[in-house]
Amino acid sequence: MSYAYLFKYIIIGDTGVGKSCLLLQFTDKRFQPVHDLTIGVEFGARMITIDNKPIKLQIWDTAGQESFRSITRSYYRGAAGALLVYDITRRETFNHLASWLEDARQHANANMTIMLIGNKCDLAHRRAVSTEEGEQFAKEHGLIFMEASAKTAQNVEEAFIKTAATIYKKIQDGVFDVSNESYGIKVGYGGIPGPSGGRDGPSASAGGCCS
Amino acid sequence: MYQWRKFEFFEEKYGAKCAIPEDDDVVEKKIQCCSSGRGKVVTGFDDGVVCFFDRGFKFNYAFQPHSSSVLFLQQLKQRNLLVTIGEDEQLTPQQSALCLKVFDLDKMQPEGSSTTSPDCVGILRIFTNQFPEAKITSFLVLEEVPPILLIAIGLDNGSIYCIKGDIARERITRFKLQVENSHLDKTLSAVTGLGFRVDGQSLQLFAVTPGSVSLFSLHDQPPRRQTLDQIGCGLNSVAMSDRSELIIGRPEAVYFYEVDGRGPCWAFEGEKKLLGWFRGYLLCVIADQRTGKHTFNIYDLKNRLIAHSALVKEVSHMLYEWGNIILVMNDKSALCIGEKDMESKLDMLFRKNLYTVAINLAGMTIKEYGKILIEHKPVETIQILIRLCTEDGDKKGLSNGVYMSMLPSPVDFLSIFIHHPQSLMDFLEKYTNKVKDSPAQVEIHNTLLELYISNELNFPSMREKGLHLLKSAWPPETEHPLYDVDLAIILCEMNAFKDGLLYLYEKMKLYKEVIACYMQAHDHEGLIACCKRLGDSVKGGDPSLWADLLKYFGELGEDCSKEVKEVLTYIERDDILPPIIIVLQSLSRNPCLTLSVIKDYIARKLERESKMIEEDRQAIEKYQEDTLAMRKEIQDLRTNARIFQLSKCTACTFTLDLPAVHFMCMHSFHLRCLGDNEKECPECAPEYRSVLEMKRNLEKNSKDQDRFFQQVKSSKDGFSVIAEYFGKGIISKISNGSASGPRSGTVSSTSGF
Repeated sequence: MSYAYLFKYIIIGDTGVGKSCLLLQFTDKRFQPVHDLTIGVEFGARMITIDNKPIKLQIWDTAGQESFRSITRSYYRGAAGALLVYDITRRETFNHLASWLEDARQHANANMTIMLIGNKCDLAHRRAVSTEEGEQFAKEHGLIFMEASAKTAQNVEEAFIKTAATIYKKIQDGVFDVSNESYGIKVGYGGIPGPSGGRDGPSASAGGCCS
Repeated sequence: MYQWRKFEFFEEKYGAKCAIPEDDDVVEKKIQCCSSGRGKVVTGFDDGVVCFFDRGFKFNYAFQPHSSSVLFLQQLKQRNLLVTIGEDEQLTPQQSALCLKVFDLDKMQPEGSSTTSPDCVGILRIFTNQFPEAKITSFLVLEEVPPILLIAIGLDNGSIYCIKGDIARERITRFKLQVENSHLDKTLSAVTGLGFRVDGQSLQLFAVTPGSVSLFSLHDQPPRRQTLDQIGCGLNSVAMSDRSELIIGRPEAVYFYEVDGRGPCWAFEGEKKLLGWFRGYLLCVIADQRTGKHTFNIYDLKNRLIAHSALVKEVSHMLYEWGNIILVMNDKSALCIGEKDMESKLDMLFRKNLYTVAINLAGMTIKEYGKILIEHKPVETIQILIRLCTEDGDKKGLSNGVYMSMLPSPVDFLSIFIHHPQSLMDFLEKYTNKVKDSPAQVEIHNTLLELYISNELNFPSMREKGLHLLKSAWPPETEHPLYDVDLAIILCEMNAFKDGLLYLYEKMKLYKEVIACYMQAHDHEGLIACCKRLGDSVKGGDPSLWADLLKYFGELGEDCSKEVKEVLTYIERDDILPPIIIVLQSLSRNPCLTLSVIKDYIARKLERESKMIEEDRQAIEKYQEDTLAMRKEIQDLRTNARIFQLSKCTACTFTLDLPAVHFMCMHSFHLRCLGDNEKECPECAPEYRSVLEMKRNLEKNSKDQDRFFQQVKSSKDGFSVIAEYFGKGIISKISNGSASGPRSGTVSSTSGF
C-alpha cells in the first residue's frame, strides 16, 4: 500500500508493563491476557491517516528485560517516535522511567518524539502512580503524556496517532530533513516532497543545522 | 533465562544408526563440504573425492573431480548439475591451484573398468590477473534462466568474485563486488555468508562479514551497494528464510534483514555454530558458553515455541533432504530429524491444554495444504474446515466470546478454494448456517454474493439464492446491510442481475434507478406497477417518477397508447401532475402517439378546470360585493349620525330605561345588564375577538418560515399555499400598517346622563 510517509516507532519500558499488548491492540484490535515474554525485538505495522495523508507506522516492540537492554539499544537509531510505557499499578516501573529516558536520549536522534504512557489504567483500584505524577514527569522531561489501557483499548489509538501527528507537525515545520532516513521517516511514493522548499524559512534552517 | 515452551514436534528418523558409511576408504578422510538435492546427499572430501548417498545414507557412487581437496560444492536443483571448487595440480607456480568445475550428473562417462564419473562440462580458473588470489570463505550458486548460472565466491578480504553465464559454452562475464571495508582487522572483513534474493526482475545479493551486512543490487549497472548494518557474524551462521529474509546468528540474538535494513530479532543466547531455515522453522545449533555442550533447537517463531530441542555432538554441516533435516557430525555420524505428523502434534498440545497454539498450528497447515486437499477430497476438507472454524466439539469451559475470537476466520481460508468455487460455496453456506454472528460476516456475504451472482457457476437456482441473501442480510430495521452494498450493486450490474439490482435500488431509495432499470428492460407493465408502488408521496414515495415515466413514453418512439392511457388514469385519479402542459410536452415528442390517446384526458381536465375557474369567479364576485358593503358601512359610520331607536335591551329584552348604553353595532343595553363590562357589545364581542385572534395567528405564522415551506412541500399543489399566504397579506407586509380594517363594534357609548 502506498503511503505519504513512513514513521518508525519504538516501544520501550520495563518488562510486563504491556508494550506488546499495546502494539497488538493497535495493530490487530485485540487483547491477549496471557502474552509470552518478548524475546528480542518484534515489529508490527498499521496505516493511519493524518491531515488526509496516509501514513504507515512501523512499530518496533522491544523486550523490557534488563538482559535484553543492549539489543534494544541498537534499535533506537532510526526511530522517529518512542512510546515510553510504565504500569500505573507498579511503582517501580515508574521509577525506572528516568533510566529508559537516558537510554533514549543517548542512542536515539535528538528530535525523536517521545510519548509517555501510563498503561493498565483500567486497573484503577490497584493504582500505585497517580495521573498527576505522570503528568508532572512528562512535563519535566518534555514528553507527551497519556494514560491508556491495552485491555479496554482506551487511548491506545490516540497515543499512537497523537505521536504521529506530532511528528507530522515537526515535518511541516521543517525540523527534519526527510530525505535522511536516520530520522526514522521515509517519504513514500504517494508522498509529497518535504518542505525543503521552505515557506517557513527560519524554522527550516534551524532544523537543518542540528544533527 | 526465560525460554519458550518446548515440544517434541520432531523426531529422529532411520534410527540412531545413521552415518556416512565407513568403508576403508572413508575412515581416514575428512569431510570438507556437503550439499544435497534431487534425492541425494553429496559430500566432498579432503582427498578430492565426492561421494553420493541415497535415502538413508546408502552409498550410491563416488568420483574424483579434483586431485587434492574439494573445498566447496553445491548440488543444483533445476538441472542435475554439480558445481565444485577444489585444488588441482598446479600447472605453473604463478597460477593458482584452485579450479571451479561443473559436472552434468545425467551424463555419466565410463572411466576405466569399475568406476564411473559424470561428464565435466566446464572448468574455470577462479583467480586470474584481474582477480587476484585470496582465501575463499563462502560460495553460492544461483540458477538463473537455464543455462545461465550466477556463481558468487566470497573472499577473506571482503571481495566477492562473481561469475555469470553459460559455463559449458564458456560464455561468461566476471565482476567483483566489494563490501564496505571500514575494518583494518582482516578477520572482520571476510565474507562469511552470502544470500541471493530474487523478486521478479530484481536480483539482490546479501553479503555478511563478521562486522557488517551489505546488500548488492545486481540489476543496477554497476551493482549498487547498501550497507544494512554494522554488525555481522562468523562462518556457518547465515541463512535465508522462505520469505527471502537474510538471517544471521550472533551470540546475543538471531537477526533478520529485509532489503531495507534490519528487521526483528530473537534473543536466543549462545554462540551460533550453525543456522538454518526449514519449512518455516528456524534451526540453530547453539554452543553453551559454560558447559560447551551443543544444543540443536528448532524454533517456531510464529507460535513462539521450541518445536524440538536436543543435545548433539559437534555438528559440521546441516542439510535438508528426504523431507528431513540432516545434521552431519564431525565424526561423520549423521542425524536425520523429521517433523511428526499433525495429529500427534495436536495431540501433544491438547494434552497440555494449549488450544490456541493448536488452532494456530492446524490453521497454518490447512492454509498450506488446503489447495491440494480441496482438489482431491473436497467434502472431507470442507468438514475439517468447518470444524476448525466453528469447533462445535468440546469447549472445555471456555466462555463462548473468548472462544470465538480464538477461532480462525473462514476468510483466512478463501485462498485455498481459488479454483473450486462450488466447494467454496458449500463451505461458506455451511459455515453461515452454523455461525450466525461471525465477526467476518460481511466478508463472507460478499464472497457468497460473488459466487451466486457471477455467471461462473451456471445453475438456475443460483440467482434465487443470491436474491434471498441480498434480502435476508438486510434486516428491515437496519440502515446498512451485512454486505458491501456498492460491491453488490457492481456485481448485479456486471452480471445483468435485474432482480437483485431492483431490490437494492429500492432499498436504498434510489427510485429513479429502479425505474431506469425497468425502462432499460422495456418492461412496461413492471414499470407502471413500480411507479404505482413508489410514486405515492403519502407513503414516502417520489411523485416525480410519474413525470419521468411520461417523459420516457414520450421519447419511446413506438406505439404505447395503451400504457399512456393507463398512466394518465392514475395521474388523473391522484392528481399527481397538475400542470397539463407537462403531460402534453412529455408526450408530444413521440410521433406514434396520436391525439386520441389523450383526448379524453384533456377534455375532462379542461372541463374540470373551466368549472373551477367559474367557481373562483363567482367567489370573487361575492367577496367584492361583501367588501363594497363593508366600505359603505364604514363611510356611513364616519359621516352620518346614528340614531339609536331600539326600545328594548338586547340582553334582557325588557324595555330600555335609563341609564342605558348604545353600541355602534346597533345594540342597546341596560347599564345594569352590562355589568362591569361596558366597553364592548357582549353580542358582537365573541365574533370580533375571534377575527382579531385569527389575524394575530396569521401574522405569527408568517414569521415561521419552516412551517410555510413544510406546507408548500406537503401540499399537492404548492401554488395554492403560496397564493393563500399572499391572499392573507402575510407574505407582503403592505397591510401591516396602522390602518387596520373596519372597527366594527368598537365602543361608542352614550350614557343617559
